[in-house]
Amino acid sequence: MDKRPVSFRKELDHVKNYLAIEQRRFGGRVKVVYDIQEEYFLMPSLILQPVVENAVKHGITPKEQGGTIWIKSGKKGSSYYITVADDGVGYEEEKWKTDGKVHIGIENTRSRLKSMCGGELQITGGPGRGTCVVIRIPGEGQTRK
Amino acid sequence: MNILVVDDEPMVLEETRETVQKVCPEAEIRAAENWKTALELAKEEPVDIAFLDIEMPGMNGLELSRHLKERNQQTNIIFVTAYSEYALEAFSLYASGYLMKPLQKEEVKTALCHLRDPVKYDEKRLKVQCFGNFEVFYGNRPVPFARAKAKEIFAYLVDLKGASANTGELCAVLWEDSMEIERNRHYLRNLIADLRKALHSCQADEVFINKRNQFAVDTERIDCDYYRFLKGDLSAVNHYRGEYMKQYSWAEFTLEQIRKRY
Repeated sequence: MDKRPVSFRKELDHVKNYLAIEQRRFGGRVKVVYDIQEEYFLMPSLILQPVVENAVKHGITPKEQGGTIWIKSGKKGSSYYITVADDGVGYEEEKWKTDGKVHIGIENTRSRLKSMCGGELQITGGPGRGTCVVIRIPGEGQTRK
Repeated sequence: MNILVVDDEPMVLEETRETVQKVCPEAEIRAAENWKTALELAKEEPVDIAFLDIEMPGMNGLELSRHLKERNQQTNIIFVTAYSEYALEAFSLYASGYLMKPLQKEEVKTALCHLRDPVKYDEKRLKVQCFGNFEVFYGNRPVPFARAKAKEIFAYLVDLKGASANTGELCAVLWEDSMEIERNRHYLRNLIADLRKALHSCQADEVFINKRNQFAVDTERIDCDYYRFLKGDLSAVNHYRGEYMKQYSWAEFTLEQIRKRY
């Protein structure tokens, strides 16, 4: 994998394409709302995509009536924040430990984020409450654009 | 034949429906995007074959298949999925097939040849009652003939027991000695269209045989009390009360023959 950081804007383009496809697949059941305040900052590649895929696969589409995914970006202090929230079925952390499946996606994303730019990933939510993932990208070391 | 297709992705649903329709052009195919619609459709009319996606929200295809089987033991289940991991469970549910997406025509054909409960293609869907008043039933409902004369044509063809009648003969039967030949022939064409439409609404198109100017019914495809009577079927014999297609005067000729025989 390419170690060089990529622009958020590029990552967002990929995500938009991906979501457009999922929206075609699932008809009106997948809704997406964008709230992009910042788009010109650098981040490790393939961080945003798996988080959004999780929201579709494990959050929205298992829900009969479907739901909405909110994707936001902004800057606070010297850090950039990306939020991916959904009102899907939510996750049960307890279940992850016992269902026998490998839950590598989020852990892998988190550790790459940490080692590549010192960023963080936080998940909140629970069964019936949807899921909210916040990704923090430190502003230090960002070259312009 | 009644086919149900269920998939939560509208585009895949349509594709599956099209593929199945290509393989069985004569089948009536109904499509459902979720388990609720699927069960409603199954309630309306018994399902012969169900093509089910497995990964669906609310109730997955495996569970749905149990409900369909509960409703109608004869329903054949064919799973259509992108994953192979459910195969074992699918077979424990006595599925007739387990097909991988995207659906291939050849695979659908093969699966249809290996149904657990083969659909009886020549199932006699139409019940024809000749004793007393002439009536035609599909299930428990009367077949909706738009005009009484369309029904009369059908009655006359039933009376012929599979032999054919031509336009002239039918006109003579329907209008006896009316001289307006052109007008009658034109009207007859409309009546034939009515008859086809009525049979089509009961998926019984093949009962009506039309070759050039010859019209007939396929006696093998209808369940008719008069035919059973002729074969000596006791229940049909008991059903006979000295009346035969009593709303039609031309039927008296046959009634005479039945009386002699009885």
